[in-house]
Amino acid sequence: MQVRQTVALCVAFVLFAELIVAAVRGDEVMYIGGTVKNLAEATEGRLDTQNEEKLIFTSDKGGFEIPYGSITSLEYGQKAGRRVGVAIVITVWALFSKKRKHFLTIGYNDSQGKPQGVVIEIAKGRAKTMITIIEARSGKKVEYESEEAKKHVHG
Amino acid sequence: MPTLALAAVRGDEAMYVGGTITSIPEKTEGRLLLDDSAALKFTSKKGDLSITYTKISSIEYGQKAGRRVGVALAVSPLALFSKKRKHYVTIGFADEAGKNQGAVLEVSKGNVRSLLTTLETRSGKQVEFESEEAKKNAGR
Repeated sequence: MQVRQTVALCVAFVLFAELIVAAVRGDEVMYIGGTVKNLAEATEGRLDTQNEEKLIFTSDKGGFEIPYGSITSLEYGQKAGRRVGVAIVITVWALFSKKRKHFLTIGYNDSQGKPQGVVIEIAKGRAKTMITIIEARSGKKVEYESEEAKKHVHG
Repeated sequence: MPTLALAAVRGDEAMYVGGTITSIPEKTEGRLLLDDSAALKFTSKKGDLSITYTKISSIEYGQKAGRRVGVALAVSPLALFSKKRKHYVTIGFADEAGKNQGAVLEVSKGNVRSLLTTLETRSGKQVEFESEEAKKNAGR
């Protein structure tokens, strides 16, 4: 009985850990960190790209706005890791595939002209469109942190 | 069902994947019309887009390859040995008000070459290929 409970606890822990470190999906984004005051690191929220003047991040814990005209730099990178959680709980074959996290770093000047920066994690399927939108509205081109990152977005 | 939903566009179909055109929802399927020599037109039930060739500032072509997992599960595991490719054309342009806009369109494999040639000829801009593989796939 005690063994069963231990196994169940381990499985639950692994699944929970997998959820915590899972990449964002769909329309979700995550404010990983940066110079925005009063907004905790690793805050999940949504990024509004409908507004033509500014990029708006909203969440239950707060948000920020970046006027496209104030953007000074854009960088895109990614981080790949093995699916260890899925491999332990479901199948070892999962170790042969990688999960990737996609990060967009935006440098901009605030209303007082001070340089600011944010790192946002975006969903895999949204990278291409989001980059196209921000490039068009800001007039800045994204710098890719590696050839692999560029290939992953553009093919 | 997921396989169908994620399937690449075929034939004359195209998809507005996303961009700055807020009047058309992302991932809207429609058709690309190349008949008009002045503007590239995308038509769909959810909205239309017209891009004047002379207002185009950039054209990029890329592709994304993925395994046929859906087909493999539903039909044959052998499908895992072939890849499906999605073809994306990203167009930067100025709208009627002179504002910079951008649109990502997914086009079918068979239409890539003619679309890129039409865009280059009418806009006077050269296509930027996002990788050597994309260039090769477009027959350049």
